[in-house]
Amino acid sequence: MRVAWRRARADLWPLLVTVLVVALTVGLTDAVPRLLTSRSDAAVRDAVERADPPADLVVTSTYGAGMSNPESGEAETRAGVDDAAVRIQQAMPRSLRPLLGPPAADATSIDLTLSTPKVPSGGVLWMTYLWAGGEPAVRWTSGAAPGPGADGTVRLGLSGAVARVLGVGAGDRFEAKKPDHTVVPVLVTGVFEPQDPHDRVWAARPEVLEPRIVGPDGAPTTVVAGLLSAASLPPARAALEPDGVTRTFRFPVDARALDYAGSRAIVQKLAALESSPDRLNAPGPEPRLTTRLGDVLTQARQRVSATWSQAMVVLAGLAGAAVLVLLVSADLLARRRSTALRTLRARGRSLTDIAARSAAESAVVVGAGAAVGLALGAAAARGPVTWPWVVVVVVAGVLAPPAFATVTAARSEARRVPTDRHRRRMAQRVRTVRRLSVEAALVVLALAALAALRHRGVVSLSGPADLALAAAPVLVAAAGALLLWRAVPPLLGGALRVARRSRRAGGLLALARARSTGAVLPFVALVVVTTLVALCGALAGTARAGQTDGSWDSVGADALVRTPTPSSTLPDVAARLAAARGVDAVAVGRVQARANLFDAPGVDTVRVLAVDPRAYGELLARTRFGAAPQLATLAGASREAATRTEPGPLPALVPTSLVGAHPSLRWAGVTVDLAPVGPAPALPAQQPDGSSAAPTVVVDRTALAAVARAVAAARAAQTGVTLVGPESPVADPDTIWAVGPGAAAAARAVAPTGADVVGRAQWLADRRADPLAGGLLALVALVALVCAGLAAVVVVLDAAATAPDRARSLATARVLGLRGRDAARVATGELLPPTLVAAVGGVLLGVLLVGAIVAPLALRLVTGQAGDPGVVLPWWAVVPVALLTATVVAVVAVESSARRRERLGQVLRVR
Amino acid sequence: MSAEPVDAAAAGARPGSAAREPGAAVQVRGVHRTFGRGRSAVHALRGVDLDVSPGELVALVGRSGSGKTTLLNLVGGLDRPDQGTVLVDGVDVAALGDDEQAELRRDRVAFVFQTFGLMPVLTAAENVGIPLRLRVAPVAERERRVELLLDLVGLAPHALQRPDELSGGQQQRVAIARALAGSPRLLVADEPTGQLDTETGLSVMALIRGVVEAEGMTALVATHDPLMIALADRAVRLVDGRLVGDA
Repeated sequence: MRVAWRRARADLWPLLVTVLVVALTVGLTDAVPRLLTSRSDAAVRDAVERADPPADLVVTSTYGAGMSNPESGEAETRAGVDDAAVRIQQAMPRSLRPLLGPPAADATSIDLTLSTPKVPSGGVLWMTYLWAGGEPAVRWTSGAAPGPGADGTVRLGLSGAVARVLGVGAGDRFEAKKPDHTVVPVLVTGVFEPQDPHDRVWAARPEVLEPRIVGPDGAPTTVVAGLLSAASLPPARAALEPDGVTRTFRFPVDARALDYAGSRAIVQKLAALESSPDRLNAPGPEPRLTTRLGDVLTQARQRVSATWSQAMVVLAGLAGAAVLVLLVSADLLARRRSTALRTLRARGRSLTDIAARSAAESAVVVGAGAAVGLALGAAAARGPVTWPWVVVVVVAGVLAPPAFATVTAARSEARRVPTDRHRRRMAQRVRTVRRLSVEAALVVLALAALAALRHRGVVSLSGPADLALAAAPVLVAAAGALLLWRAVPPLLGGALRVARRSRRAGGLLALARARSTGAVLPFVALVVVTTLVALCGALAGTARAGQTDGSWDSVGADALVRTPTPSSTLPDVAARLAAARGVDAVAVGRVQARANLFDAPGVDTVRVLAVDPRAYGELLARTRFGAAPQLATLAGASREAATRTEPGPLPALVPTSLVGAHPSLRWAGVTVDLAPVGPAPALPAQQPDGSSAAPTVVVDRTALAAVARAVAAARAAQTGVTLVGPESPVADPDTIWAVGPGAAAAARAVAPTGADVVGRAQWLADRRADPLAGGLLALVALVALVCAGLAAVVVVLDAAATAPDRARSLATARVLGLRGRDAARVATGELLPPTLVAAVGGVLLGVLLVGAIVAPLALRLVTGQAGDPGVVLPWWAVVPVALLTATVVAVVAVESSARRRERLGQVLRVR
Repeated sequence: MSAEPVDAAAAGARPGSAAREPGAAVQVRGVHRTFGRGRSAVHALRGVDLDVSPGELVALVGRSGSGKTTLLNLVGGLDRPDQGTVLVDGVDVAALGDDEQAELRRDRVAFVFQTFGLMPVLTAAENVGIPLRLRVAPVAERERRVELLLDLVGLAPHALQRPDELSGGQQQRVAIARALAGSPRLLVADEPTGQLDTETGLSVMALIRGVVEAEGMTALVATHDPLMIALADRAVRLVDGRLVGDA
């Protein structure tokens, strides 16, 4: 015991390095999966909470034609709506019940057109019965709640706001028309105010409380809803025969009850329910279950799964790097103890005994490191230990020292290079064949893992069997390191040839030692950890740059204002926005996400951007898309078309594949011939909702309106049918883009009511605050930091392993007349070249690796882009090169300092 | 070499010591060297005086621990005395700075060690050429000299072999060739035959004797070997750090 302790104390710092490496790796590989689990749950809940429209479960059912009885009274309403909601809730699968809040139900009419004093035309009326555990609580300001009536008149109540818009009051009558123009007489029995306008009962039909105006400015439509009571619903149903009322049972989803682990089963259960809604005991002939919950959960699961897999790739890399560092550390220990080990062996100690003693020591050391790591991991995130990578690191840490000790002890001290040239060559060939076999096997394994990863993608990684797949990058790094290692001797050999021809000693001494003393294990370890730093750097850089690109692709400017319908007032809004402080450029336009295109090979649907080309060009020039001279060309070509009264081709910028074609665009009910004048410039590639934009056609908005009207007029002259009148808003804008530091704030200030304002900075901030993306980037940065530290540790360990020979060699050179400072240069020249080759090679490997796996890693799910992001290497990914150079310089300085304390005459004495 | 020759007497020659020999290649006067402190201090040299004439081969004899190697280290500028002076070609070695000592070793003194002290990563020829590289000698001159010296020590066919491909005797021959490469004035050899068998040791001794005569250099050789002592011009004995006279 005392001997073991003395031996450990003599090699304290390599053992402490082992403890540190094990603790850091175990801590990270243990804690990160638990942290990810918690972030995954948060991500799933966040996705459901943010779902727009909501991810509620909605059961709809009709009553069936001829199933109404105007005199059935409120009992039938209770049974058909209120009680049905409760029955459906009770019929919900047990696994879904905890997720679902109390149901809300409504029975709502089809769209009816109405005519009242204030809305003689252009009004849409819904008659609706609402229930959410009870009918809505209201205060009747005039009249009373609607009651039964068998005279064919539908009785309903109106909210004060709706009554004012329609210009009716309690006791007034007006007519509503069904789609078949059948008249339904309506009696307003009372006007009410809601006791709680935020009560969930109103959520199903908010138009009961607040009229909604839709459609273009020139022809708005007023949508309102009237409130039926349980008693007035049966006569309403009778008036709306056949089957003019639909029941909707809405079950809100409580996101807090969701977690990632259970979401898969929920998705499967929802799919089963959607295909067989009969299980829900819903009333009516053909009940249907619809919900976005399945899609929302599937998308969230996909992102979580991708993030997990990305994290697993990073953790696998970290574990692999740690294992390599532990091997290097074990090698150093065995070298430092080589004399003692050989002495033990010479005195008859068995190899098993030597291995057991070494294993006992390493078990204590690695156990201590693992305990510290697990404690750190538990402090970071509570939960059961995540074993896979922890086991890998601990097993490698425990087994490596006895393995190296055994091999060292087994080697004969008298082992020499055979003097016989033939035997020397044979031994060399055997070593070469053995090495080539190992290298070839590793290269094949790495390529197979990489090919599998590229083929399957990380999103499909699901279980422990895929851990090997997650280790593909580290395997590729190791294989690349071996190949690079093969390149080092020729490189050093070339430099050595030059040094041999020189007059000086320094280069020869340094390079001869570098070439002869380099060991493959530290080199591979150094390349792998450097590759991982570059890989993490490139992942982080690519993700962040991709997020920025994604913000431009989604928003298209610093601020985006969209109105639900085209509005002729937007140019005025744009003018106010342009005058605001901090706004550099503004463009207004019409964006049609999908429009049909004819006579266009390979393209049948396009996105149409109808803009003022000059203004939009000036705006684009201030974005990352850059200047677009094609827009100036379009502006020039469209000048004549903007004043055209006769049909003719419309100048357009089209997808590159369509330049030279003669496509036609379907627009506002007419077909417009396009005259391509050039390719469309680089444009935002995504719709604001994140979906990928179709190929884009850019036209002059004024010219589009003129040409469409001219075509419509010509057609009207032929057919007598007027589709587009001279005042029709065929190309009214619905979008304003603005750039400038104050664009977002100014857009919010001037945006019309109901318009959607999106700020690019906010979009980016939201994306970066995402728990998954943020967590992944934090992990990547942390692992990069740890790997950079590991790289420095490898350099120190490698230098320590060769330090005695180097000291002896330099002492000899100093005895021969080499000056002290020149000795430091020789030491630097010995250590630095392989280190730099490893560092630079590792960085290049990391970048190549990211290029190869950026698609299968599904980084687009992190960046929010429609396509895979381009690889970006941040400046700090090359820090390892500087760090390792600095480490070498520090090691040489420490060694030089130690040499100064050493008496030169003693170095060459018999040992 | 920036250090100027000094007058040995003025530099601390001890009154009553052996008569100063004008023009001596090596003059050691009153040298003390102690390693460690307090009770664990080891007094390696206790007032040693020694003169070695130019071209003389002096064998330094004594038991292990008698101070032979310490004295050689001081003479070769590998160590500094605690007290006394060491003059090599009239230059006070102890007064030199580290760089100047390195220049002394590079230009005037050569060493042969019991452990050979060869660079295992260099070939025999490269090892021999190191002193010339340290002097930044022209490449052609260096190559010519290396070839000549390897031929002199009988190792021309082994020029491209590394030390671990050579026998002990061959390695020591390479070390001697390297020592001669810079045409030193003084050869310091610390038990050069200590790790060699008798026959090989004999040939190495003969080689040292031969080159000392051929090159006209001074040699100070620490040895236990009676044959080496016999080959020397003079042998001096060290006992417990004191020079006790000719052996």
